[in-house]
Amino acid sequence: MSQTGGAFSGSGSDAEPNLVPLLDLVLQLVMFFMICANFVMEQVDQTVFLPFAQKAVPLTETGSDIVFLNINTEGHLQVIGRPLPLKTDAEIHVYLQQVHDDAKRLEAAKLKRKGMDPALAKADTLVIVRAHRDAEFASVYRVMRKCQEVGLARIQLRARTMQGQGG
Amino acid sequence: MARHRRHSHEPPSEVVLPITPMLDMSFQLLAFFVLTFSPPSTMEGQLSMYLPAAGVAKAAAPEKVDPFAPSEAELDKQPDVTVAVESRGGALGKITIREREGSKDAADTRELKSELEKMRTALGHTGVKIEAASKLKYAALVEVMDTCLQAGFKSVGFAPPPDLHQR
Repeated sequence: MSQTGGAFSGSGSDAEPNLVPLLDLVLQLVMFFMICANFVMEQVDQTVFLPFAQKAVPLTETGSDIVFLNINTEGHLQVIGRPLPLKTDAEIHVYLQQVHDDAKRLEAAKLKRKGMDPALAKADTLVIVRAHRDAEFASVYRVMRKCQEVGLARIQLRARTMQGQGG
Repeated sequence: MARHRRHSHEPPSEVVLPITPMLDMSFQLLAFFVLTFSPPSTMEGQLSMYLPAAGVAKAAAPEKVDPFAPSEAELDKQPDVTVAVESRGGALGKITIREREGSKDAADTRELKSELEKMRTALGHTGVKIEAASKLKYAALVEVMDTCLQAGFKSVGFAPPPDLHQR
C-alpha cells in the first residue's frame, strides 16, 4: 500500500517493500534443510566412490547402533575424525574392539534401566562397509573378518543404487 | 497508564528492525543447506551378506565357555552353490559355478545369472557363496554379488580369498 501511495503522490518518499514475510519464508526453508540434514552422514567419507548395484536397498534401520566403515583405494580403514587411516591388522582390531565394547556397554546400561541383568548385554551393532570401488577384495575381507572376530556379526555392504547413478 | 498520558502529546517513535542484513544472512544459510543437502537413502543402499563362521578354540575351562560363540553345527553349515571368481587385473576374470554335482564356467555375469537361475529353480538352492580372488576389485565383487541376488538367491556369503596367503 505504501508503495503505490508513494509512487503516485509525487512526494518523493522511499518505496520500502515489506521484507518480513520473505524473511519468514526463508527462515522456514532454512529450518527445513537443517532438520532434513542427515547427521549420520558424518560417518560417511565422500572420497569413497561406491560401485553400483541394482539389488541395493535403502537403509531401513535407524538409530545410533550403526557403524560405517570406510575403506579407501589402498584398502585402509578411514575413520572420520582421525587424521590417518588405520593400516595394520592390529590398529583395525583395536578400533573395532572399541566399537564393540562401546555398543555392549550401551546395551548393558539399557538392560540395567529395564531392571534386567546387564551381563546378558550383547552388541547388536549393524556394520555397514563402504569400500571404494577400486579397493581389493582382500582388504574388504580383512575388515569383515576382523568385525566377526570382535563380535560384530551383522555386516552389510554398501553400494550405490540405480537412483543415485546420475549423481 | 500514567506513562501513556505523559507522552501522549509526543509523536510516536518508530522502531525499525534491520531486516535486510538478517535476510542476507538467512539467504546465505539457505544456500549452504541447499548446496550440502544430499538425501543419502536414495543414493546408497545395502546388500545383505554373511560370513561363514570362523572356527574358534574350545574353552579351556567350563567357566570360560562363551555362549555367543558359533556352534559346531553352524560351522558345518555350507551353502549349496559356490561362485569362484578369478581376477584379471582387478576386473572380472574366469567365473566358475561349483555345485555338489559338478562345476560349470560362465563367460560373464549375464551367463552367470541365467545359470544360477536355472540351478535355483531346478534344485531349490537358496544360499550361494562367493569365493573371489584377493586382487579382485570391490566393484567387480559387488557386480557378482548383485548378479547372485538378481538370480533369486536370498543369502550371499563370502569365502576367504583362496590366494590370500600366497600374496
